[in-house]
Amino acid sequence: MPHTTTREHMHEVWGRVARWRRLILLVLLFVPTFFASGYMASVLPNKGTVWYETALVIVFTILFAWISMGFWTALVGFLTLCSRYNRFYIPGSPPHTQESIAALPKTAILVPVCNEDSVRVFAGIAAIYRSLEKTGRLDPFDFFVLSDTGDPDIMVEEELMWDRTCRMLGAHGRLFYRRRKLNVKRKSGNIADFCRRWGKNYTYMIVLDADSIMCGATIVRMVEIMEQHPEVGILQTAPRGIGKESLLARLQQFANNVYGPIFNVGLHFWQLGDAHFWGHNAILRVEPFMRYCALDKLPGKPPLGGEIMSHDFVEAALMRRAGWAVWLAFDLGGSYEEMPPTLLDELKRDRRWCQGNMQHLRLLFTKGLCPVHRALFLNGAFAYVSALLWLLFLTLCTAAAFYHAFHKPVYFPPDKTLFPIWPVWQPQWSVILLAFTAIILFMPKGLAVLFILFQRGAARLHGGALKLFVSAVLEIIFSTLLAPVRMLFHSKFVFVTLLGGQVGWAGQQRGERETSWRDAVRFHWGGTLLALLWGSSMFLINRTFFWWLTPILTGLALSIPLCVITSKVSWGRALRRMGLLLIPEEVEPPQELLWLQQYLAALQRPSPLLALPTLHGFPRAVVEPFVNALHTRIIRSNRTVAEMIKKRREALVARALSQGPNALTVKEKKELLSDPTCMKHLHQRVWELSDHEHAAQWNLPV
Amino acid sequence: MDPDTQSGSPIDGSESHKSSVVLQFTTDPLETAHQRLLLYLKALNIPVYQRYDLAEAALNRAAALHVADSDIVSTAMRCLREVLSADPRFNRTQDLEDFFFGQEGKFIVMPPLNRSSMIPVPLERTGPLKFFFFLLVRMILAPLRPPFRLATLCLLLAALIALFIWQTMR
Repeated sequence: MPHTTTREHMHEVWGRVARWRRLILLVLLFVPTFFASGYMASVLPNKGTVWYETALVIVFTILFAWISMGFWTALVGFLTLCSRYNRFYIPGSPPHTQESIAALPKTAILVPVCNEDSVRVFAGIAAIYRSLEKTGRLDPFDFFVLSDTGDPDIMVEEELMWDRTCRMLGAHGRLFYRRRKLNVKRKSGNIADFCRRWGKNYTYMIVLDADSIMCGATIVRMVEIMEQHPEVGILQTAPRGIGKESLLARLQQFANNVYGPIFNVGLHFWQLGDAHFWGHNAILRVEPFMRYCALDKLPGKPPLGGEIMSHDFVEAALMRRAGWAVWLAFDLGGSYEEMPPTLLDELKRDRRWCQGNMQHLRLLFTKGLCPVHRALFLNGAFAYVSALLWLLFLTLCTAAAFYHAFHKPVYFPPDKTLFPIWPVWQPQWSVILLAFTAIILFMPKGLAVLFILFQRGAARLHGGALKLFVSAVLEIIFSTLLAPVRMLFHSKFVFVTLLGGQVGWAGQQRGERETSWRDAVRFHWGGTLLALLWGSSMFLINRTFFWWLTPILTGLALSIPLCVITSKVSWGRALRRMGLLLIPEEVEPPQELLWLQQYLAALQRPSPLLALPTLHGFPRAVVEPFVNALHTRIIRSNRTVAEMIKKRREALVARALSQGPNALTVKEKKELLSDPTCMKHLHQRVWELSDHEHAAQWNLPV
Repeated sequence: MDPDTQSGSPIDGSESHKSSVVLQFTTDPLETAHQRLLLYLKALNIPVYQRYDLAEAALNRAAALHVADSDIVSTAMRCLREVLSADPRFNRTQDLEDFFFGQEGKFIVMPPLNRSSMIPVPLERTGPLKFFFFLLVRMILAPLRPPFRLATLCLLLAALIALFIWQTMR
């Protein structure tokens, strides 16, 4: 193992400090939680002595500890940023001299994709490529698009976009395209497949998402940092949300840009070299990754067994277990990602993440993992389980309200007592507790805004101090309204996962597609109905409690219009015109984002190489000679095919000719696409069709 | 296909008969074939000024080969491929791949393979009880120096054995 002594020494240096910091975090978590839960018990009519009140106090304690972790992280982040002192900030060390920078080691930039919008993917790659080219350090970098796409139409478009991008940038021999036939172990399997085939050629790999954008200078700096710190196995950047225009996406971009930095610094403060790996916008040392981070299946069936879905956390834990540090370079700019455009898209993504994070609970007691990564597993799962606990808390509160409405208190129980038992509910104490909880929840946001105001010129990049403040208030209103909706869905996800329901891992919807009222009703009618029933019954039975519930009931009752409105691009644009929810990348867009727009426009225009631009996907690969040749050149299969398979494919070709491409299923199209001989044959035969009806099926003019 | 064009015997392919044969196809199929050839040549990115010559050459060849009940479009397309493969301007190839990428030596989809292994690491999961037991033992032993550590471990084991015997005896 290389550099073992150096690594151990480095780990010792920050490890000692990290232990102290984490101990302080535990004290900060548990001491206020202890007092808050005691106060909560005292607020309740029976002081937590009856079973439902005891349950309420327990759930409250867990939830309070959970939210206070965010609070302390943000506070520490704020103080660190204000003091401008960070002893262990890894990108802080001075860069190498010009000579050593010139000798950067070979680095692969991986873009795993699965049924994504190919125009966006390749426009992003082109922007990164150009940015890297501008640094003058392009030579050590190779780009790999690793496709797990299963949709035959998208497969063909990906190939075409790859070729167009290569031609546009002159990147043949530097931008590679590989599509797996079998989608084994999803993204982690895709990256492992790359490592097995070409990993030996590279010292580092930078993993990106389909919607990632990174500046060339940032990429070069990441490689330099890895060179300067041989003990680091993974260096994760903190990507900023950019590029979307729907209201929800702009709210999240704003939150990510404004609140994100202090949380990231806080996380760095506690974690140091035991940080997260978020699966993208990060650099990894290939050799230890290949040796220690190949993932095994979990015993049992999905959802909690089988292939590990959220592989990134586990890979970070395994890298750390092998003695390599994992750092978060929170302040390394030029790293971007896109946000889900609608609430439904966000919830679909959360459904998958929930299952992945719940799986991590089974790895909690894996041998050799460092305690922080166990805590991160727990934390990840708790991000969703907390929703269920919140729902349980509200249910218990409602049950208590019902109980007190219909059950007269027993002042003199059968046991002999000197004094009557007098259930006293102190509403003013509850207000104090609520205010305290609200401070814990919202103060981090206030601190983040304050930090921006402290920095000279930073508020201008958010539209000015007043507009920054209004934007923050707007974000708080929407996040408060959406919180109960998310709670309900996350609770359902946890419940379904525990009951054995599982989800697929299809590509994400990343385009600006608005949610229709029909879809919103289909997804949110249950929540709306629940809110109306819950609210009306509480209004009739216990009006005081009804007013306490209104913030939650309002969000749930309005979930249908909220879902539609937040998906509106026009609303997002209108707020942008008003100077609200602005982020620095909207006010002063970096060159890479401008290039992205240019390449998007260029790749959306029909290729001059195509004679029938109205065709798309599979028919395009059959009809267009260039696309057909490109496809057969890319798949390049010399395999001999069994007679039976040959006959089956011949029958498919005959069916495609007589009934058109729509007569073929996805599986059949994929089978034909996998066979270059069939594709060539089909191409020739389609062009020979003279019958009007048959030719029209392939969009051939007659 | 127009019934008029279907009648007649196989046509003589000699050059002298070419123009007259072409004139026999004055209705849709011939026009369809011509349009199809031009479209295909466009799709091959052949310059406009060459398209008409090539299409005519292919059409004439097709007309010469045309037999009754056969499809002129299909014959013309086959002939066009032959014409292209015979033409030195187009690499003398019938293969589309070579036609488009024959000259492009730089067309590399993936680099050469350099295989190595990546074997999944065993995760070695333990149960929570076992995990916390060993954690507790480690926490107790951690502050102790090696001779005391061994002694403490022995004492702990002895205590456990004694507890087990006492429980069994009872």
